[in-house]
Amino acid sequence: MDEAGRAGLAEVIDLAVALERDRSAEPGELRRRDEAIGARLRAAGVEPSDRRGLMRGWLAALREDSAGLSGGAAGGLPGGLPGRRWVGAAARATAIAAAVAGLLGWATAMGVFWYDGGRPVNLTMVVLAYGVLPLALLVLTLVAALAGVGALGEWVRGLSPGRLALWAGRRAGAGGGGRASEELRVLGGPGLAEVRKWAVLSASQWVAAGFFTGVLLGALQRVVFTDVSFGWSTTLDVEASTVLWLAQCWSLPWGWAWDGAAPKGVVPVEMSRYVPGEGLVGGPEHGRKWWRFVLMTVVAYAWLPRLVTAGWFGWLLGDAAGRAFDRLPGVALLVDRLAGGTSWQGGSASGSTAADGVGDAVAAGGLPRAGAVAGVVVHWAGAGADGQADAALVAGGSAGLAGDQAVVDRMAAMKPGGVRVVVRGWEPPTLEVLDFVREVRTAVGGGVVIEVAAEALDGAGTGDELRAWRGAIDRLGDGDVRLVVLEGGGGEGGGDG
Amino acid sequence: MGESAAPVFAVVGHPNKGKSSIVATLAEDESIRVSAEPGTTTDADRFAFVLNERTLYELVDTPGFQRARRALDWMRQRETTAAEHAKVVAEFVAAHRAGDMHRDEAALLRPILDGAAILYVVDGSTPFGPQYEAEMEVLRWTGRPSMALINPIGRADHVEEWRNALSQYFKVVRVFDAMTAEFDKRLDLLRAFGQLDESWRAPMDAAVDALVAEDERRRQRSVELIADLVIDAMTHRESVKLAAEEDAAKRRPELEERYRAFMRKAERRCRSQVESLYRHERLERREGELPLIDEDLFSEGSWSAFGLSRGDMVRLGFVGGGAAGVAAGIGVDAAVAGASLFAATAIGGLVGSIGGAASGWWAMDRLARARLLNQPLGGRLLTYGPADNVNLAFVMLGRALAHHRSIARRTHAARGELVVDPPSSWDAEQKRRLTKAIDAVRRQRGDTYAAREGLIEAITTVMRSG
Repeated sequence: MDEAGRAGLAEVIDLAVALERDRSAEPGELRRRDEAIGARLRAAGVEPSDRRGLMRGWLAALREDSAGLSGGAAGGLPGGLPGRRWVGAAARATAIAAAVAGLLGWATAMGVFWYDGGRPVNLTMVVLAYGVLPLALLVLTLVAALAGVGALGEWVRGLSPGRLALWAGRRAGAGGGGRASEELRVLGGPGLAEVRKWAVLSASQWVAAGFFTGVLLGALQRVVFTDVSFGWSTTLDVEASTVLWLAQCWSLPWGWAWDGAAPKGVVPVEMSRYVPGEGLVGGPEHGRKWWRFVLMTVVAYAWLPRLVTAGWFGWLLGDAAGRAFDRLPGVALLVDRLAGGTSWQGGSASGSTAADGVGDAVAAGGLPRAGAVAGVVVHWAGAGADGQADAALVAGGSAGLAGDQAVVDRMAAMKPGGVRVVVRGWEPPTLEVLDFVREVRTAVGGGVVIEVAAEALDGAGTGDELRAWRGAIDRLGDGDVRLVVLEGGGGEGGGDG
Repeated sequence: MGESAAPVFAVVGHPNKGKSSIVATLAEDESIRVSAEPGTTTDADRFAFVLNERTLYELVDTPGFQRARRALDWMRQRETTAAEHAKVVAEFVAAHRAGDMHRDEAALLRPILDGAAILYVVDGSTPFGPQYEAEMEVLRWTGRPSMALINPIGRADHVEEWRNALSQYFKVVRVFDAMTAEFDKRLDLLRAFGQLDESWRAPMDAAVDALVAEDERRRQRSVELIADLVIDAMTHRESVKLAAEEDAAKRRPELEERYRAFMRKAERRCRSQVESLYRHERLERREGELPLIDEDLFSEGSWSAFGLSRGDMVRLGFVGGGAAGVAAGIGVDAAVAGASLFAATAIGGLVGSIGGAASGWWAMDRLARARLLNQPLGGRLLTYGPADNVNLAFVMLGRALAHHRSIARRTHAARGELVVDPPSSWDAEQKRRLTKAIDAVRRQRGDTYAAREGLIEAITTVMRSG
């Protein structure tokens, strides 16, 4: 994993974990939080079209919040974001595994290249162990990586890199409590499947590179500090010229650059043939000439390819992380919230509900019915027009303020025993009608009952309006002003009383 | 006027006649409450519709007229000529800015004097009354562009009566039911706002375009959320580690219940996310209001309303199994270079079809399978899921789409129950596409993004046709 890849990987893990934690948060809170973060980012110069800039800014804001706030799910992130922790742990685990593999490689090389002056090191076995076998494993790795493990058959499906990563993660996270378990669920989720695959493949190549580094160092140690002789031998009837042709083909990758590392002529090849009981045909000194060939076999067929695949898979890991960064479930929603687009701003949202401060529910059925009235009936703003007697008083509506005053003056002169003000029950009580009721009270004096008779529309008043009427009348603070429901319209008993 | 000369619309009228409903619907703000009490709203509330930091237009929710006749009387006492009307209104506002007598009138007239257009709102379900004439006259004195909106809060019994009265004061009179207005109706109204003044047409057209884009984005995001719900349904598994001698059968019911609880929770989460997308975050839903989608996810009613029939399951299993069998047969034929005369293809298709149909038949009765797995380092793991039964995905999908439909249609003024239409029936092609996409998710092989995107595409097609 290169540094750039690690940074991308940490970010995508952070993003996946943050999105997973957000899933349990209240969506409205998330919207408000992210719109606020988005506004801050845009004010700081991040373009709404810069998806990655927005997401990186969002993650930075969450990290700040988790450092500074107590943090609910929709605020900061309790425990912070784990991307760097997981990537750091993976990098450490990879480094340790590579170091252990290096030791193993060194140990195998010390064994393979052991020479005590008797039987020479078998060239064929060296080529098979450090050339052909690594090459075959590399091909299988590439098939698994590029074509998928399915191409290798059902029997290796359980060994898929993603599953291995998940299993290793579970072991690593065991005992880590709920947070580790949540993070593991995210790491094991389908959104990071590609990332998991390339992370494991990349790490496996670094471990393999570590192994062959150990092999290379072990081989060099044997060559430099001990006397190693190589030879070849076969039961079959194989000519030295055939072995020469094979060796020259095998050394094609480096033969053009390093002349001394490729066999030249059939004689040296024949001289290094091993005959049991007799040793090398040409003596041990002919066997020593093969050390360059052997080292280059390890370098060209094992060590370098693993470094290349490690780098390549690391690059693919970064690519997968980048794709996941853009395509994780929930990312599109997040970007929408951050990018702003359309929004509604302002509004105090402080309006009270219809029932606020009014008390229990009021409906037409819960109020007294208007009976016969002994007194004056005033029709407010056209209310009760159907049953309006000629002698009835009319105020409000098109009557004008002067008309209202005339009615009040008339009542002051009459001093009636009661007053009924018929109003349209479906209309809300405006301050204008309440002013009128107060003026009537002043005119008729205290102790006279004033009924506000709410006319129902189509025989039924609505709960909301009647609640409002009762609240308004209660607020007048006059115990002799009462709300009644007028059924069937009209102002029965009208006229002066 | 507001920033960048964005058009401003003051929503005015008698108290409690649907002003706030109209603002709530247009501003998509269900936190705006309707108050039937006089004088509870004392200040105008501004709502700016912003696109990429630019205000396209503003709505101003105002308190209702409380003493309209008295206000008109005050103005008439100072009247000189018609040309001076607006000036007199301004004097009125200045004179009553601080006092209590005309606090509401001053508050509602102030934005109009600042340049707002007038949206005069009346309730078309109640009769016209003479007290409205003073209000309309006061508004006429301001000389500002205006439109009357008849908002029937209930039965629209008196719309024509209102139209006749309003036509005498307003050039434009429209009926707009804030409770039930569908998206297209809202767009029509905004376009009509743009007609009130030539210079407002461009910003209002931009607002309409932005809303159309926003609506499309919401649908797309809803599809993604629903797709993720289906993915959860098809991939989730619950597991529990068993003690050395523990009986797996005893732990299975607990595991199955955990599995069902996860699905219910995932469904609730998806719903609240969709509701948030449409800014219905305060939706109050009473239990039992929605017999179709509030019923338990695993109830027989839900499965019969939204699930596939046994015939569908067999048919789709037949098609899917047949395709898989054919694919396998082609592989065999290719291996023998056609020497089999493509018999393997035919046999594979037949065997696959029968196998698929049989699995469709049997999977109908089973949600998921419990498996007992040996752990690599010892111990046993009892798992439940992922779902074998594709019907789980269909039930969750059907319920989610029905919920989405009801949320997308609901206005922000609506306070009543959420109305859910009966589930739309999917045609054979839609079922086949959905089955294929769901199956790809179940198998989760190869590119998981591709499986998700395939499912999103299939759901989008179904949503558009529904």
